[in-house]
Amino acid sequence: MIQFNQVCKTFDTTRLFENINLFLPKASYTFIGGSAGCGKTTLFKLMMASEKPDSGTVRIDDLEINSLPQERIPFLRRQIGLVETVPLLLENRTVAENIAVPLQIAEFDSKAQKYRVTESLEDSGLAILTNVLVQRLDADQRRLVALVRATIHRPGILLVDTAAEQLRESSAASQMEIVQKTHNNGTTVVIAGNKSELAEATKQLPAGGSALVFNNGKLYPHERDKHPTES
Amino acid sequence: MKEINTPPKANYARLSPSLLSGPGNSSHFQAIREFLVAVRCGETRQLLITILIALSLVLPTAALILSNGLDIAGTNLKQARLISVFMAPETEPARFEDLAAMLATNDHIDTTRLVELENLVSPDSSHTVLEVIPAGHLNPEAVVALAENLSILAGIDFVELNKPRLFENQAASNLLTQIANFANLAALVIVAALVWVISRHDIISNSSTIKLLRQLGGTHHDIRRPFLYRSPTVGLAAAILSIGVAMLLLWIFKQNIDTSTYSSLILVRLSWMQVFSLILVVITVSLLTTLHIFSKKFTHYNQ
Repeated sequence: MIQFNQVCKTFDTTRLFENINLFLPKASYTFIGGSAGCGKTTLFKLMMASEKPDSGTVRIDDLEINSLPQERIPFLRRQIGLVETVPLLLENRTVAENIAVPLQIAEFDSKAQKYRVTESLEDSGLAILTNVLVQRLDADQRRLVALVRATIHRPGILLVDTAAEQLRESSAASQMEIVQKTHNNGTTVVIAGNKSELAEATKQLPAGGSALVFNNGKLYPHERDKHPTES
Repeated sequence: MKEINTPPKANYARLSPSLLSGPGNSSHFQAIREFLVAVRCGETRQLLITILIALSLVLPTAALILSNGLDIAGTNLKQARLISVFMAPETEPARFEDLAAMLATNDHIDTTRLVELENLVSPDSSHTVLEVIPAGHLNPEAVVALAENLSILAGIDFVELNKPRLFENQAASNLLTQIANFANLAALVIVAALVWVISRHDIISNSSTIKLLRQLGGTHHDIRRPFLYRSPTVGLAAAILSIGVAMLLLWIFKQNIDTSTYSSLILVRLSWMQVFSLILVVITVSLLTTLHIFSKKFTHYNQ
């Protein structure tokens, strides 16, 4: 469960969020659309406790992020999988080694790590790239690796910052399948994308999924039969 | 509600042909790119950093070796003093043996030896000459007092001691020792500064890795631990390498100087104390740098 209560956030002199209220139940599927720089990434940073709100409260399950002690932040992050627009990978490691990092951090034993990595690579179609250095991958494949890495430890929440317009169709589809599969396992999924993706994303929402749109520092529900700008 | 279509497996991770080719088949550009990435991170990076630290430590290590040479030269100069004891011509051999035995037990005397007649500068067959080397810890005043004490012993005719040279040697020895100590200290300070700068740069250049590990839920301890292990290991390897390189360079230099005037100062060796202090400084500074940077720059998870 993710809950934003009267959250305000200013970045430099720009007011990003104006008293945002948001409630995303456990195992929900949400697409948040908005123009570039509207605050989608900042929303994720607030959930990851990388940023603090100027006012209001952010809660993840029973934890209030604002007052979370520093030493508990890593354990919160282990419950969240994040895929950034430009994913950060360990360039000198192979695909398998990159994917295994969350398991190493969570102190899985080596046998479990190996099993989970093999399983994830096969499921995602990345098995053929197992021992390829990530520096040799193209942008689509890097995102796919980042997505598998974000989901390998079966997090409670998956945050995906999309850049779908830059992806090949097949790559976008395979990523969506991984996201869908993760959601089916009971993970709360939040996808942030551009306004232009909103219509398409809305069509692809699973049962119970919702689409929201950022407008002037506030979040509105997106009505499927309306154009996003009319919300 | 439209279901998301499952794409066929064949569409997953479409591969570029170059991706699966081995390193041998990759283009020069790709090879250079991979080398640069390898240099930026991983084992190659550690090797290069070790070599970089070692090379930067060569000059201070050479200064340490030279300071050791100066120190040893100063000590030798201080101990280069001799009391010539001229025995009375009528001394009986039995008395001579007693005297030699008595001097051997004196704490203020290092060694005593009989000078052969043909080794004397001005051979004098009437005297038997005994060379007495005072103990190293004696200061010039004590050496003079020792010479005076020897001169009044029965069976000794007179005693010779070059007093002006004794005091000159002492002054020169003190100066050399001071220079050696200063050079030692300066070299260690330079070593500490170099290790600090390189270690700091190494950690800061790994900021993106640190950021990633934090994002994935690594604790301060998890993230800092590899650096804490790695820094002293790299420092120790670099210190040992720098000692080897500095000794080799000085040995080559020593082989190539044709005068023996300075060669006695270039002793291509380090004292155990210097080796220990060099390694201690490198390990301590690298550890402190790591701890300092992590406590100052990477303190908060929400940075």
